[in-house]
Amino acid sequence: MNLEPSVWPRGDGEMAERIREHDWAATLLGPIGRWPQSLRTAVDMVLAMPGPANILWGPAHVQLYNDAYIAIAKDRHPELLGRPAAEGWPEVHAEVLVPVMKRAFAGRATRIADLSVTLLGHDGRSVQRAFDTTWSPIRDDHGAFAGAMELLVEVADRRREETNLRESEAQHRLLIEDWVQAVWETDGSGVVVADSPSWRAYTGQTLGEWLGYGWLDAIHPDDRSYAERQWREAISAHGLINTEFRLRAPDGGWRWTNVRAAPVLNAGAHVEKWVGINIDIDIRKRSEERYRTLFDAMDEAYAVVEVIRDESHAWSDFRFLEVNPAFMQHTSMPYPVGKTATELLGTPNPRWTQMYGQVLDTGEPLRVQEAEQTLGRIFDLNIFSLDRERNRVAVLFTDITGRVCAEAALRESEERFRALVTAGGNTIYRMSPDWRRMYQLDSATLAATAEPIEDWVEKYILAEDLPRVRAAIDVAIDTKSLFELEHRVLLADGSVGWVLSRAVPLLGPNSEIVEWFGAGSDVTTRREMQERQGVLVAELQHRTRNLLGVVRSIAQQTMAQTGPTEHFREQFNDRLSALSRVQDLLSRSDQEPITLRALIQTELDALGAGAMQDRIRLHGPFVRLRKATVQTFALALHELATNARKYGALTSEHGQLRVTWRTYAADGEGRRLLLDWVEEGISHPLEGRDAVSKRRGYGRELIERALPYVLQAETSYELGETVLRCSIDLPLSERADPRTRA
Amino acid sequence: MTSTTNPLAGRRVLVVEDEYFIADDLRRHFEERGAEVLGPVPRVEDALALIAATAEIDAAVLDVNLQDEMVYPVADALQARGVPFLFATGYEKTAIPARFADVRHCEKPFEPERIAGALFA
Repeated sequence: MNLEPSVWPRGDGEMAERIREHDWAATLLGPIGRWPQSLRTAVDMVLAMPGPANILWGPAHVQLYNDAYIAIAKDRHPELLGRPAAEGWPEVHAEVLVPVMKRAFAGRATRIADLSVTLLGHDGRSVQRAFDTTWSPIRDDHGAFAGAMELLVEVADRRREETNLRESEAQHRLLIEDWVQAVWETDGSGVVVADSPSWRAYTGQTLGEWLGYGWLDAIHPDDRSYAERQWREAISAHGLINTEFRLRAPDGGWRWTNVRAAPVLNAGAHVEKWVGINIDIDIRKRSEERYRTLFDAMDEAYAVVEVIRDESHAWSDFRFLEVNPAFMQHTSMPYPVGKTATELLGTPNPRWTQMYGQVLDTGEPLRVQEAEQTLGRIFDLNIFSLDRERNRVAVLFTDITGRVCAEAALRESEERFRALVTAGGNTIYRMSPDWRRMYQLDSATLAATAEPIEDWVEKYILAEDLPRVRAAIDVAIDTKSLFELEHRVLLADGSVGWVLSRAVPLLGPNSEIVEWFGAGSDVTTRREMQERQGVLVAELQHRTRNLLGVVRSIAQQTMAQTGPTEHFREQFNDRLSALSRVQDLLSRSDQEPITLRALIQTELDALGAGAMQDRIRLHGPFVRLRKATVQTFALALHELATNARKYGALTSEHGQLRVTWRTYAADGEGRRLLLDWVEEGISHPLEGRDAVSKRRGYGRELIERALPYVLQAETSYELGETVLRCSIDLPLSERADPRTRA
Repeated sequence: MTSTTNPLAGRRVLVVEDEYFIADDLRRHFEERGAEVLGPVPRVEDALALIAATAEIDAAVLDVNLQDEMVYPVADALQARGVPFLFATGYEKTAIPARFADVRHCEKPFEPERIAGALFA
């Protein structure tokens, strides 16, 4: 595309007009129509820029600049146009411009912030000025670096302008990049009609490949449709382009490039053409890719969210901007990017928005565990602010539901185990390797030890048992084997119990004892039963042998009266039977107290007196007899009953037996029992009766001698013509002598 | 009779036994052989009172369980006076306190002759 010199460059700005009308043939650049395309494109760009910009071209650094630059040039304008910089800016040329241009011709950009220079005013006075300036190299049509474009702001101006900057930020950014690889232009409809040596150098395309839409062939196949769509949309919307894609490199590889382009409007606001630049961003992209690969590959979930405020400016929701693949696994949510939490979850945990907002408010990162009920999950999260201006936070997190549940289950199972062990009187404990310290003890019956203690012996062990316990511990430590001992312990309620205690050593890698783990079962009940059983067995022996001694004596006594005859056998058997019955009563006496009435009734029943109930009267209160008194008393009652049946009131139909008893309080002695045995209507009082009245028989000896001897009883036995009266008066309560009572 | 043929003759023997018939048997046996029986008594307090009131006691026969009281205070009193005695009891020897380990022990039922023999052997 060759434009007539008289009409290029277009535009109605002052500098466009001055460039059009300048007598270029007289300058080092030569006639404007012969300028290289790259220079013309650079001039178009400079003129399109809203801020100060200029070009230094060629070895002489011939200067071209735009309208905004006039404020920089001040009174050097308009003489600056087309003049070598050494003449235009003699104060700074050698010191600043020459090294900058040297770098540009080597293809390198230069940025200088707050460059302070001393310039001479037209009145000869020196003025201090400061600039932020950026120099980008420009290639000529042969691909060689032939000049540089400078974008600059005066620092004082810049500070003022920063407030107005936002609007033109996109353009501004477009223009201040360091590294411009290619500069190019198209016609108003976006079709490439002009050569761009810098594009061709950057991509390796030939002119023919470049023209038209051939540039699309230089784009990576994966990015091509995307790039084309962006371009067409920008063309139709007359918008700015700022996009990134991969471009073919001359070496055959692919390089990431940032394309920025802007329409150049003519006086009628029509797009006259598009100018654009390519900035190489390959290094940045590849490092981004590395991070992306890392985020994609890592197991932790990662998300970038934008936190949203409601009308009252309070944090109300958040939107997912970016997530990694692990995010999907950790949350099992549908793909969330572009959606808000409320859209995705309905009623998400409000804490998310609060925490994200808090991180934005404070700038402080947050480490928390939090549950999301709608997902049924618990997360462990690191939240940090990414971009507080745009309300963005990054969240790095893992799903710990399984772990938390497992921990809870383990805790529960431990508690169950402990409950199981301590219920039913069991105890568990842990000891240091030398048993000096008790780490812990849990028990249902012993006072618990939650923190390690040294004085566990004083706390739990009885002094008398200590030597045995110590000895067993020493053996267990020496042999590194089971400790096992039954010993007494002090219980939590202050009483003494018995435990069967067993402890095993837990060994370390070098088979050293790390600690002892022990369990004790409460054997107090068993021990008490054993002790009681021992007492009972001794009692039984005592009673049985005593009984045999009594039997032996009865036999002796009976035989002394009867001789070894049939009569002996009968009486001896009767008396043995009476002894046997009272043993029965005694053996049941723990469950069933032995009453006086039961004792009398038992003897009468044994004689078949049940059929004579109308002739027998028993009358008296409930009286419980001491076990020690029962046997002798029963034998006495047996003798009375036997005599009544054989010789007394129960032999005839007219006889009556009346047994009455009562208890009463004796002076200073406690309660006594008075029993009267009265038989009336005896037919033959003396016939055969045991010779009671004549000589002292066995029965009578029992009543008159044995009862007083054994029971401290006072007895009387009177036999009249038809009446027998026997009275027995004995103490009921046990003697209150502290010296002799256990 | 000399003491070698009748060791009981003239001896004063204390009998502590709570079963009347056994006590009476022993009494009769000792008396028939010329011994003097102190008691018999069925209770610890009676036995202690008798010991305190009697200047001379040659030997004693003690039942161990006296209506659920243990006879040991009586045994202690006899030991203190140097009086030889034996236990005539239904208990096993192991049920008797260790301080009476050397005391002779006759298990019931026994014949009075054995008691006499054991006392004055």
